[in-house]
Amino acid sequence: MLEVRNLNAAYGQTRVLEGVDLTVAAGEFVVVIGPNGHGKTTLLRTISGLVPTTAGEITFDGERIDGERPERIAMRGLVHIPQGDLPFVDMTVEENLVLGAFPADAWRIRAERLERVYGIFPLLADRRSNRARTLSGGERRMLALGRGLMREAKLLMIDEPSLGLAPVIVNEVYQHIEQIVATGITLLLVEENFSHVQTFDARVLLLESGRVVREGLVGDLLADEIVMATYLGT
Amino acid sequence: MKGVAARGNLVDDLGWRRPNPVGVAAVITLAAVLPIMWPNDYVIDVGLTALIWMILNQSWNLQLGIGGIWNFGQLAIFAIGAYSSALVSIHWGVPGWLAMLIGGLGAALASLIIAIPVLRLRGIYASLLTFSFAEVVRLLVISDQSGVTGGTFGLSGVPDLAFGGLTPDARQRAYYWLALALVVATAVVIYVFIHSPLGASLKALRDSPGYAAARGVSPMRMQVITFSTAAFIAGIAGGFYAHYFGVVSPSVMGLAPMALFVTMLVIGGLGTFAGPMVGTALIMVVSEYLRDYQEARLIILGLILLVTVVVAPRGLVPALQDARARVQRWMSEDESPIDAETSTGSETGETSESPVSSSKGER
Amino acid sequence: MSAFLQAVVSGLVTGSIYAVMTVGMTLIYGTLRTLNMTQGSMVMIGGYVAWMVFDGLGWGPILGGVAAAVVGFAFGVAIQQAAIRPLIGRRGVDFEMTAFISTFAVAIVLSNVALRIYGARSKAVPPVIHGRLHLLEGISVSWHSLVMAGIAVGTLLALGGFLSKTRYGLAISAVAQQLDAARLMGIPAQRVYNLTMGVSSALAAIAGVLLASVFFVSPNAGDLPLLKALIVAIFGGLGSVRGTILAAYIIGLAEALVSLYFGVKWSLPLLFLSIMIVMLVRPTGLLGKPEEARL
Repeated sequence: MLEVRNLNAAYGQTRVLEGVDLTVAAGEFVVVIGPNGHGKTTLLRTISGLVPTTAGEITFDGERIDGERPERIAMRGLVHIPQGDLPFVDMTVEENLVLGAFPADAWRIRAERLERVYGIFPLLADRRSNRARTLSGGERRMLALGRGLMREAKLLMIDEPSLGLAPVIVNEVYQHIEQIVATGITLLLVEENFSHVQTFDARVLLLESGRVVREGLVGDLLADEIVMATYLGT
Repeated sequence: MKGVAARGNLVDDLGWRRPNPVGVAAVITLAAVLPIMWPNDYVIDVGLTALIWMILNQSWNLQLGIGGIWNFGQLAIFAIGAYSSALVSIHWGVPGWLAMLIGGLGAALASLIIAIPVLRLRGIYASLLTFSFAEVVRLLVISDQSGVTGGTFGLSGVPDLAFGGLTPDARQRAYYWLALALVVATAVVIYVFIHSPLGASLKALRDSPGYAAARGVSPMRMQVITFSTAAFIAGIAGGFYAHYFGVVSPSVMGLAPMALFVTMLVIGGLGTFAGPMVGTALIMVVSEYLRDYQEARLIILGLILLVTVVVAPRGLVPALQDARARVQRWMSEDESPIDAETSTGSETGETSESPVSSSKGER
Repeated sequence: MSAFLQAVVSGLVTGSIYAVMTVGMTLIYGTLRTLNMTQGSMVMIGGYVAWMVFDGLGWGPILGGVAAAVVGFAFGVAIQQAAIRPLIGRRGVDFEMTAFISTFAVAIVLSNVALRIYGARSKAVPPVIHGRLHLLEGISVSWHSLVMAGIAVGTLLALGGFLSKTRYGLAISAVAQQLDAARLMGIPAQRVYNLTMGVSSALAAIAGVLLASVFFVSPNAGDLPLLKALIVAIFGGLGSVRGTILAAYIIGLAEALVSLYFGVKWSLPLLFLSIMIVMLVRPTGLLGKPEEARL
């Protein structure tokens, strides 16, 4: 579904990603972990087109997408739920969600999709007429996830779902993520705190200083003492 | 940190590259002999007008290139200088030279009114504030019925600068060379200003406010000094204008003249020494060439502004400087691909569709 | 007292037209971060369209408004493509200022082209209905003004519906609030920019039709509307549609009252003076977003 080869990206003269290789097969669940500021978010942003690449190729569903505009990439079925949620703060929850179904094919069935999302996140249904500005951190996170689910994604990318949330809320969020995983969707998740994903049946990539330094199944990494010492519970 | 070396780098980095002394000398010489080589009254008059605008535009450029502020009120300040100079001359018989100085001071004082508020606002808001200031001044003058400013008709009968008994031709040349001297003097003042610690502080303030604050640079004081210096220069230009033409009226303010000066500045290039001169000269030439085609003139000038802003937003002179720098870099051997990629030229953006993107955040 | 109420009525009418004229400016600022200096030119062009369809085809203001809207829309898109789009994402360039200047340049070109084509003399467009409606003792409003205000309010309502209920209307707000998220949802930035400029210019052109009979049609007919639009937009808060509409009515009323008590010639200088104060005290205006103004 997604193939990334030798991806390089930079901000001005600062290199952020170097020679990153990554694949996500259809139906797979891949997690990217690593310390903050080492390129995980940039990786997702480069794939979704918000950040230009300086070298390398990105292939999605059989076609090259590097260099394309984010809106075109999104229309291909790549859904990126960004770090920090980025809600439309002056719009209501419902308006935010509805916009998640912007592409013409999704827009036609937006009422259905809306009900489905409200089913997954009853909390959002309760707050549907409230402005996004008034939502708490956890609620915003749900909104971001819900917005991303308004479309049928061929690949869903979630960036740091636990960021800035209290542990109780993080658990809730990850319960929803479990539900999402259970649907069989192809998922690429970025997470700083490895402990949240250790129960999943996923492939893990460790990104440090913009490079992939370790790759393996969750179980492999759990067995690696050095990795655990550094990342468990960070 | 590293003292003089660091400061030197900051200043060169300003974009105000040192003008080539030989080139400058040549241009000044050419300008000086113009009245002799081409003794046509009309031509000299146009040249004189161009010189006055050059003084004004340099002052504007100072605020822009160093202060980073588009001060649309500069014309009003110029006018205030002109009016004050004219008034003291007419009513109190103050000799021309002193009157011009008074014009400069009056303008500087007036600029203080907006210097401080402008400081507190961001880019576009600051510019709009100056724009409003200019409009208020203009409208107040137009509706003035007390006779002080002469209202819409303005003031006339401003006495000559005391050149003594000269023939009209000689008088005109005297004005011309005085104007030229003022243009050069202004350039020198600005040069000194920029290469002083003051100039380096201002540049630091504009580009990295956090760093500047940490070094104890007071934004308020810097801005006020820049503003009033630039205003003083504009005021002198205004005073000169009043005495040469003998009249001052509100028509010198307003959208149309402002458009003309904006064009001169943008074409010439922002934040360079030669910019204002080149821009003023070019536009005056084009404007004169099109004098017979009244309507087409402004259309063409507008188009020139549009095309320049869109193609080379920082102006012709910086664009040429960049081009030259890029050619030089391309020609030099030892080139790492990464360094070549990230040149500071006016390159078009990549996939960014955000209007306010990297240019602000990058520093 | 009745003079006061008369001023209020006339202020409300003016306010409605100002709202239509200015709301586009705030939309453009919200999405494109550009202070569109051609807003006045669109009013001028709207006036000429009104004159042409009236003079040549005998159309009234409603059809004239439609025609003006179409023409305005086309101009808006063209201006976006020519003067704004090339500046987006350019490094080392202060986008806001540069776009301000480029649209300013377009405005100069447009008014001088109009001068070339139509000449300097103003064209007159007579009111669509004559006569006045008498409300109370000493308070009346011309039928024409009522019709104009009605069209203005209708247009504003239509705009409101568009922005809050339709796919692209919501997309405009999305792009204004959170560009990256909008693009990630497949909202095409360029198309939204074109749409915003088109709609905003169309609105200004409609305002031009509404003003055509009170305010002569001439190449410089856009200068004053531009200044007023700037004042209203800043007062209302750049980017806030509601703030702008509110500001438009307040300023319409203020103008009418100042004219009544101090004389017409004081209204503009006072307006500018007050906007200067507003910018110092509360640059975000009535309902603008706090992140915008401070350094």
